[in-house]
Amino acid sequence: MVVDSATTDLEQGIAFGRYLLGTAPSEDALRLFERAAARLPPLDDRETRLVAFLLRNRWAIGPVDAALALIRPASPVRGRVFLMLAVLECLPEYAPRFLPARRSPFEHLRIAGHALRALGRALVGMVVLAIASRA
Amino acid sequence: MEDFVVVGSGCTGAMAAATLVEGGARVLMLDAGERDDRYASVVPPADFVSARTSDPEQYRYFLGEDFEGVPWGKVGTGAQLTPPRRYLVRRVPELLPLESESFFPLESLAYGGLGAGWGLGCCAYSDAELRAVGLAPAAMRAAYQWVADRIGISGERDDASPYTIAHLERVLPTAEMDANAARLHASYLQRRRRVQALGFRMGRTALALLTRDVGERKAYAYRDMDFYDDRDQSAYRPWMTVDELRKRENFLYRKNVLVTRFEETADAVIVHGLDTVSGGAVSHGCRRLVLAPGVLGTARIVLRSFDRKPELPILCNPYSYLACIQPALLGAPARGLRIGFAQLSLFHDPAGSNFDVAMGSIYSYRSLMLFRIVRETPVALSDAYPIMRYLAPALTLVGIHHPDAGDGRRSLRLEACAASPTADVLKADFSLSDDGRRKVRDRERRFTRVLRWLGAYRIRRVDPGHGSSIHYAGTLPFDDGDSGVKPFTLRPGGRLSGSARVHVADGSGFRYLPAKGVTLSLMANARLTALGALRDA
Repeated sequence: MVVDSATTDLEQGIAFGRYLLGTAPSEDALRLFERAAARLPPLDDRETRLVAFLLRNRWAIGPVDAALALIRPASPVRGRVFLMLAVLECLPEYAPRFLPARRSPFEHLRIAGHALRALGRALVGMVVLAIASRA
Repeated sequence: MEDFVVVGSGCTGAMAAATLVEGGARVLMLDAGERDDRYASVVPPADFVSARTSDPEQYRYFLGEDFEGVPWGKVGTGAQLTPPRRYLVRRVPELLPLESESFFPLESLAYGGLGAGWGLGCCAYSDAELRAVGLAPAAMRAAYQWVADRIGISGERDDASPYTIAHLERVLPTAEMDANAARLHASYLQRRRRVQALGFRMGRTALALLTRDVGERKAYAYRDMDFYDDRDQSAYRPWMTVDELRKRENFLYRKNVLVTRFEETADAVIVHGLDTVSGGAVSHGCRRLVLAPGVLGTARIVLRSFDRKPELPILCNPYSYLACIQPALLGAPARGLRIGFAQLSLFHDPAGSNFDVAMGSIYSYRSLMLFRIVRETPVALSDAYPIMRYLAPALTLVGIHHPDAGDGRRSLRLEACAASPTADVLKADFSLSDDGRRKVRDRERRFTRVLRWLGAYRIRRVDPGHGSSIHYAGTLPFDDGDSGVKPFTLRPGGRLSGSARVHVADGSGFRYLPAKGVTLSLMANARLTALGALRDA
């Protein structure tokens, strides 16, 4: 499958940004992501197919990211999600999400929730990744 | 013809040159002199949190103009370099090629050498350590104080000071601690007797960091931008000394020169090198040569200068770091003092002899972006960053160095390589003996146990590879000083054995490498080598 890389970088930015933030990323974030992604080596066929799958099935980004974190942490696809994370952290509008903040009584519970979600996502992600590899 | 050529502008080159210049000699410093001025005007005077929340251009110094600050690979050599510090290793693979599967040193061609990214930890070796290294304790004590007065060292007389500033009469007041270090230190003071019974001592880390204004250099302002700029010059960098020397009439600085070898005649030394811009050959004559490009650079130059090219030995402190969590600080807000340098030192000296001591340098996770550790987390990134944001204030990093007496298989050799601009490549092998490995693991377990008692729980151990912490030495070990020429060794005082005019001012001569931070001792030894060279002249 041939994927237009310029379109894909922008689409990836939008999809990965929304996955990380829960909302659409700003134009600054997308511009910076595109600039940074242009310096990455091209994806091989397998990774290109996986990106295309994730762009068609955006709900799967979290589970697949979780599965890749366990079985292929150096995956270039996860590398692109990570790049978006680094870009977001370096923008003032998103900085508060990354800086340690005032402790709330429910913080421990919230973090425990993230840990549980991460576990669940990884289990689902293993299955999704297997399906995506055959797609 | 100059009286002296000094090769290299790092910690040892700067101290040797200052000693020679102040002794009245005419000195030419030859240096590759890589710099990167792109970032100086980009990093704002703000503190870390203010920059993060207000500067729309922050990606330029946090990610880098070319996004070189995004960590793609595993944690390893150079991982600690932020974009404004990346120039320290620029052109190194091309001009200083090194091949190894077991040794991963960091070398530099920068103005100020690796000292431009030094972590500032200062430890004076004990008399027993100095004798094992091959250095005279009385002379080194005077040299330590000379260096301390020059660079400015802050520290405190406490349980750690016998291992750090015992030889220094004058130091500046210590820097303040952040909440993370203060909590661990308070815990140590509560459990001091129990911890000491296991052979451990903890105290403030002595740092080459000003805590009050000295001349144009300003007191440390706790901006928490320690890895991005040298705005106030509170942290000592060797280029500050070289900048000062460049104002003197008897000092010349020539950059863009990679010294490759030397030839010695009856009354002079001819120094040969490459122009790093044009690739052309350069040469300079001098009465005496002082080599200070770092132990690997010196090894290359010395090996190229003789027909025989034997394997050389090398010393390197085994190193790993432990990522620990202090649960009481989980989720704490980003407030209060913040300092990115080591704040506490934990020494393991079971015999109480101040010899064969292991050293833990304790850091908080400061001045660095969260994404640098998020990538290491084996969960989905959207879950990883809130989790790491919660963990970061509680994260305590303990870098552990172990002493090295040279057991195991080590070798450095220079082999021909047509693709290299110098037509050669340095090859290195490094491994510890089985006993050495066992001892390192045993000591790490003891560190882990003591840290747990103090309320810091280990969550991960990272082994970045031999050489990555830049503690290496001993390629041309000091001889006994009692007999004739022993090729590829140094005479006591630093003169190359068999040579009348070539002196080595870096750590090449060390016969033993204590675990304590090596930089202060390297600078003091450079001072002594230069004094010896002046006397010989």
